[in-house]
Amino acid sequence: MGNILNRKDIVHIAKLAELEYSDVEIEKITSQLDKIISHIAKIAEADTTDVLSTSRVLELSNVFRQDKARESLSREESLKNAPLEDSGGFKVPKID
Amino acid sequence: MENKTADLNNKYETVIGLETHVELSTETKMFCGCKLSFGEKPNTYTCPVCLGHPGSLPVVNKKAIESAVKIALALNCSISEHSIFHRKNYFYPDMPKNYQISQYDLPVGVGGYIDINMGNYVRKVKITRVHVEEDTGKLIHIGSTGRISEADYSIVDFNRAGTPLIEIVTDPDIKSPEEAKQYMITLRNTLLMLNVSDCSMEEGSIRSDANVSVKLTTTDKLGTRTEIKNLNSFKFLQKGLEYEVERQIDVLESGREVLQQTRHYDNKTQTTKVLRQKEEAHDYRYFPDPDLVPMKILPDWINEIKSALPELPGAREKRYKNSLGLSDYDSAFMANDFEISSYFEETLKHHNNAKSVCNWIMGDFSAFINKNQVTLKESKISPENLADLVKMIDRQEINSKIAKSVFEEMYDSGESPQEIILKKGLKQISDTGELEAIINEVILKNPDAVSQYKSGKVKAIGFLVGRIMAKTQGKANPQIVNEIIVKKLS
Repeated sequence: MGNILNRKDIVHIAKLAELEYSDVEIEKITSQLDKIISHIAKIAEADTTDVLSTSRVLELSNVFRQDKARESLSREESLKNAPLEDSGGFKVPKID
Repeated sequence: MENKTADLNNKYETVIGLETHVELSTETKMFCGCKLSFGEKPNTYTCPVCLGHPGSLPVVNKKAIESAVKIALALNCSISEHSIFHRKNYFYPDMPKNYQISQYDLPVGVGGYIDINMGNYVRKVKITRVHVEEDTGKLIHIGSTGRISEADYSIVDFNRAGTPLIEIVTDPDIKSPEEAKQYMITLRNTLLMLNVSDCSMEEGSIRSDANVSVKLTTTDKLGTRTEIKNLNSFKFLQKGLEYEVERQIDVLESGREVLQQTRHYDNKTQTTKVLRQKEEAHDYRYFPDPDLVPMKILPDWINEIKSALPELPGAREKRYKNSLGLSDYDSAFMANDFEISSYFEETLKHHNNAKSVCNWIMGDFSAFINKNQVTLKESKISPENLADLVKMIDRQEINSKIAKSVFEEMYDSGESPQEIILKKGLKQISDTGELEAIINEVILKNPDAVSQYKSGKVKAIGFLVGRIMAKTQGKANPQIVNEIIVKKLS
């Protein structure tokens, strides 16, 4: 068991998720996540030769709406949950 | 210097692939019923779905999918029977959800092509994919310059967020900046014919990014490519690519390596600058969007859409050549520009003389609008009025000289040719009684010419006709005048 994920993978994933961890934490997460993933990896042993890849379990398809407009929220309502606002817009910190 | 450039152009080959985004002109957004808007007050066309509020669910706009299928069919793609949406994950405040709903491995259309007429050759550009996604919101950077790098903070307007967007990706088949420009022109005209987008370059409803690299002619191995952004006009697309090709050749010639970068075209300096280096963050972790169910685009639906497709530029060009008898050049000119072609078609509805109408549009009309830097549509001459003018010439109600002055007047005032002719008394005189009186007078006053004619100098008749035309300010119907004189003098 194990050795699907290494330290490098975890650092990469953390960076993509904009999460910061100490070295000790990385160590711990690597070992824990590797165990979880290795456990799930068992599923790869199933024979899926003639099985269509499935991303949903519902037997639904083609759920559409007609191209008809309805009222939008007022600007006040739109901005209600904005942590900060400026000039009718959502104010966000400087983008690096 | 010129020789050196030519040598380098033979040494290297340019390889370009384009990624074009087209905003659809549906009434509503891709996944919610908010109206599409442009230039409205920020955040006045939003709702919990396009603001990404927890618990809200997207539902696909059927018309947007139909438009995507239309585009894919027009670009000769196969339509995926099974198509799904993915989430493209990234951290950037232009989308409230931290992901954009897009398509990944099962886009609506794959494997098409479009023929680009380069005048003396045709370039077949393969279309990799046509997929559906949602547009992002707009960021306004607040700071001394408005540029992102010098901003103190930014504000986000989500009015545009969720606008249906079609991405059209080509294979790296384009071999020069000029071909890239022609591809864009052809693609835009095709989309305009399909009536799926207003394709306004100024408003950014059609915009292209380019992947460009150069490689040694002697190898098949592609060079390292850069991605160029902000190529938002036909001219900038060509200029930006020309600069970038030259820059890459310079880099290679000086023994350095081209770095994989995203570069921004600055139309003021006509150069490209590094926006960002390729980095590991370019990992979007696509996964199927669990909020949206798959689409089944089955043959019945495809056929229904196919049967409603309008005539496309390629087919139109062929029809002009084969059925209307226009020359190769004229057919291409009339078919391949949406605006010109629509104008031509509209004019033909009122008067079906394709050749003459085409000559007027390509001749005098083009000269006038080029001089005044307007488009056919912006000019004051309606297709109906142009048709009437050509009709009057064909019926010999006015001669070509008068037609030209009527045309000028039409161009300036927007009046109909009938009105102008009536107002200025330019109507051709075809009334034999009226003409006979004038002809009698001219015959009497020019006995020399008359006797010359009678003694066998047939050309002398030209002099007499000239006198008659002068007397009528060119309004006499020359054919009738000729008939009457010949009769009278024989």
